[in-house]
Amino acid sequence: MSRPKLFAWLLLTAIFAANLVETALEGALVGDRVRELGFRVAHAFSELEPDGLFAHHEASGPIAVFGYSLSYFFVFPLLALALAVTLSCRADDGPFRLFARALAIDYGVSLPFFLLFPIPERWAYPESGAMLLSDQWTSALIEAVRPMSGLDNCFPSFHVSMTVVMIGASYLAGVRLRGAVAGLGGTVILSTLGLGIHWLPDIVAGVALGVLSVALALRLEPGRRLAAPPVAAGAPA
Amino acid sequence: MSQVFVSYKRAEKERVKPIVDLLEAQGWSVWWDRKIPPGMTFEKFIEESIAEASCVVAVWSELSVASDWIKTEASEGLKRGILVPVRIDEVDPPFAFRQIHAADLTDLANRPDDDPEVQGLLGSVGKLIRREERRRAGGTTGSILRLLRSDPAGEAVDEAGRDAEAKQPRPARTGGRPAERRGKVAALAAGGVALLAAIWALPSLLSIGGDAAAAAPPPPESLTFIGVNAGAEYRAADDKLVRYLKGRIEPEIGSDLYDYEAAVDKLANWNPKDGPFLARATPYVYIAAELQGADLEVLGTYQSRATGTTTYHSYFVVRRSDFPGHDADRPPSLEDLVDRLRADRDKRRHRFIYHSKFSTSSYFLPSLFFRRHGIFHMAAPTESLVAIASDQIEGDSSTELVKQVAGGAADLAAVWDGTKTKFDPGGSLWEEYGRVVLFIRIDSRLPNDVLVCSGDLHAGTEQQIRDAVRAMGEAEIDSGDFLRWKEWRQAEDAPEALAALRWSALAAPARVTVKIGAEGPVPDAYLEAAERAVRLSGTEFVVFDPDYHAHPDFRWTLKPEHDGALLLTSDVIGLADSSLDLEQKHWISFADAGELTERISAFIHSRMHRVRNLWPYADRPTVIRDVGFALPDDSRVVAQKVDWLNPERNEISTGGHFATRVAESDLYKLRLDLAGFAEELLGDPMSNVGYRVILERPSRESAVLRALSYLFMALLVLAAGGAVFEVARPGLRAAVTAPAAGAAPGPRGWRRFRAAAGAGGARAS
Repeated sequence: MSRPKLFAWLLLTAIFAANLVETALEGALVGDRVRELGFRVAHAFSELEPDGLFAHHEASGPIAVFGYSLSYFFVFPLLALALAVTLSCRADDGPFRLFARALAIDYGVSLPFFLLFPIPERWAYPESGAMLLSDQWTSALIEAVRPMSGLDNCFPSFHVSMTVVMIGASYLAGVRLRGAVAGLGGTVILSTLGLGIHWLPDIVAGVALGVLSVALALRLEPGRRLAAPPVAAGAPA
Repeated sequence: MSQVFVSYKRAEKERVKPIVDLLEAQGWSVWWDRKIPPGMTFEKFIEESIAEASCVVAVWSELSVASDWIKTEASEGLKRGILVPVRIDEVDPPFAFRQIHAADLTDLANRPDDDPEVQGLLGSVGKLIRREERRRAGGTTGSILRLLRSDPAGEAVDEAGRDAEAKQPRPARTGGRPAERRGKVAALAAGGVALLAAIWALPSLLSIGGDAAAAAPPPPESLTFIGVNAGAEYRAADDKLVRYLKGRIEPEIGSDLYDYEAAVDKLANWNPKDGPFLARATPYVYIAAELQGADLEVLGTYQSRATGTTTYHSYFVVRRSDFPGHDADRPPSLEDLVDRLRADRDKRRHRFIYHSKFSTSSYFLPSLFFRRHGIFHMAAPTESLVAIASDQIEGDSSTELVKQVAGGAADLAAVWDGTKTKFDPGGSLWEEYGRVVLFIRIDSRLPNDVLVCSGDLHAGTEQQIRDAVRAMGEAEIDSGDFLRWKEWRQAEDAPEALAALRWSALAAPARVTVKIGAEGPVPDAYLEAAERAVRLSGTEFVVFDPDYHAHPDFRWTLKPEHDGALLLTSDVIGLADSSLDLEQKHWISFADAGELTERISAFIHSRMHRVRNLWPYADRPTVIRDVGFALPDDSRVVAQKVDWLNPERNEISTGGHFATRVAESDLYKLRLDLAGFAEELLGDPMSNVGYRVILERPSRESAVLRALSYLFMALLVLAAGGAVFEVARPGLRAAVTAPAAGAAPGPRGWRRFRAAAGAGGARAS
């Protein structure tokens, strides 16, 4: 394995570890006043939405319960891992490096929000009327991911921003199954809303942050301008 | 404070008195005697009287036009838009008041009752009083509601108010003074807000009731009179009333006669397309119809020959031999009656008889009394309930009820004053029957039959009826117990009696006990929070107390979940048929035990099934609706037969559950499909056996969330399609992505990126 790839793997591992540590220490790092602020922001988010959007959330059908849960808890990590492995197996270092750098930027930008604006997940904000839909399947799902996904780490949605990074990287790298990555990534983004975890502003911010992260990572690459589109033979120069 | 403030020159008191008499004859309170309460200044009291009045009548005369004091009082009325001027001399009112027509009441003593000037005065004052009454009753909200409901009455009154205001002179434009500027700014702001509100509300108004924005409808051409068939004398009285009204009101009147049950049904489910109606209703019919959603306006009640008033009493009839030591002069009390029934509980069942389930005095009021005191028609007494036998006799005579009690065929009945009079000393039946019975007065007064109209009756027509009733002579009807009709506001204590009866009929929902337990280790604080939630919810639910209650109805199980969340499972205990599946699961998030209390309490109101008893007075299974959620027609509900043994302690014997359907649903009632119910158990408020119904909370996913599910599926299909396209169909991919003929194949994706990177001098990997 080349050194750049090794560094990329180390970077990804560091992000993962930092996330674990941050989640574990979050309770001590975030004070009551900051938490209160988060609830107020959540209230503002709920006011932005149509009344009764999640009024009968528990009535969601099995497609929503199992589909969203599969996407959020299984497809997302598998997609991330598969993409990382795929890119690291490439002859070029660039794609994997771009992916790792984009994720690092993504996490680096998100972290201050997680610590300073600890907005509770939608289902944990009583006024929203939402429940954690995956609980209808099993609460073991959320318990499994909770060590790396804080209850208050809602804005921006790291699931969404990371998914956008994955989609962007797969397209930039010309991954063969990038269409499938985009489709599955779309289901992950939807599941963050449908499961009752994220607010709409989280998702919008997550998309924006994902795009920003890829763009910044691309800019940090040595060749930061895309080549001119292919010119048809005989066309005027 | 009085409704009408009369401003006049003190020296002309005698000349003004006929005007005051005229106003007071309409039932309006008039302030004119200048009596000031001790401790209050004259000026202050006058100011408050005008501020509280619905109308200021300024009496212009040769003396008063020169009085600054009268001008001040009239100015105050003018400012509030409630001034109605009259003149008793041939004088011009002061300049500032000339734009309002002053009714000409010169030579009032020689003017006929229907004099246009007199009627104009009464009409103007009446409109202002009604406008003020509506304003006080409903305020802005009431007006908006009337507008949304397209209430012609409301519109007409508002229009009348506007007319009155339009006749007021506009204040001269002086401009510049701060107070006026503030007023203008406030008016502009209010206008702006009103405009924005109108723009905001316009789509709603157009979609909810297109005719709300339309002009007020014209008076109806015809009116249906609905009478309750209660015997020949009632029919004769109805005929006389209809004949009296003909010619006094514009619409033609046609008559329809219904029996009691049909009348209740007709009033409660009146189709507005059938036009407005006028009805004579017994208090029971009125209340039953109103509880089931009838939109009725009470116009009057009749003056009884028997009582001389607009109300009457109901009396229990008992045999004197059952109450030794009592006689007609010293009858037993209600407590004595209850004590007697309780004392005889293990010896015999007293037999209560009635002639009609729709009789307010003989059945409705006694049934309310019995239920309140735990006295039921049942085979045997229980520890807390007294058993009586309740039987209906042949015929429709309340006199027969007394005769049967006197003769020993029954122990107990209830009759009204008119019947009692016959059996009192000196009455026609005293010697034969009256000597052996005693009458125990039930404290509640009952209103006589009421004259009601549909709530959508044109305001002008309604006023014509009120005016006609008000003008009715002392013995205009003079048929049976009916002497005359009296307008509702002049009906002494009848309105209060009707209101009291209405409140008595609204029984509180029976308690439903909830047993709260845990699955797995649950902190005590959470269990206590759940108990507090039940207590604070203010619903039919109470926490099951094993030392007090005999039977838990619901079981709640708390199970801790992840984070600050728990699963609350609610189920009905003893459900015979598991296929009914009334279990509900609620995942509840919370920060602490205090919040958990609030959350569970909110869930009771917003998510949980609720329990109601059938309304015992209806022959068809009916729930009087007092829960906030709607159950659409054909929704499933689960019913359960219940024998109450001790309602206070929830000691019941339950029959099986069965599923039924909502046959008819509106904001007032839920009428259920009859299938499954034993008809003999319906409509018997005396019985301790009835049905309770579990109202299953409808739970539907919002359209947005449903759309999200479809989008989710679409994305999955796209992902799968993309994968197939990329992997399984390489040939197809090549064909689709092949460069155009003659075009040079360029780098794609990352290769383009790499190519650019190479051009930029990047290190090759």
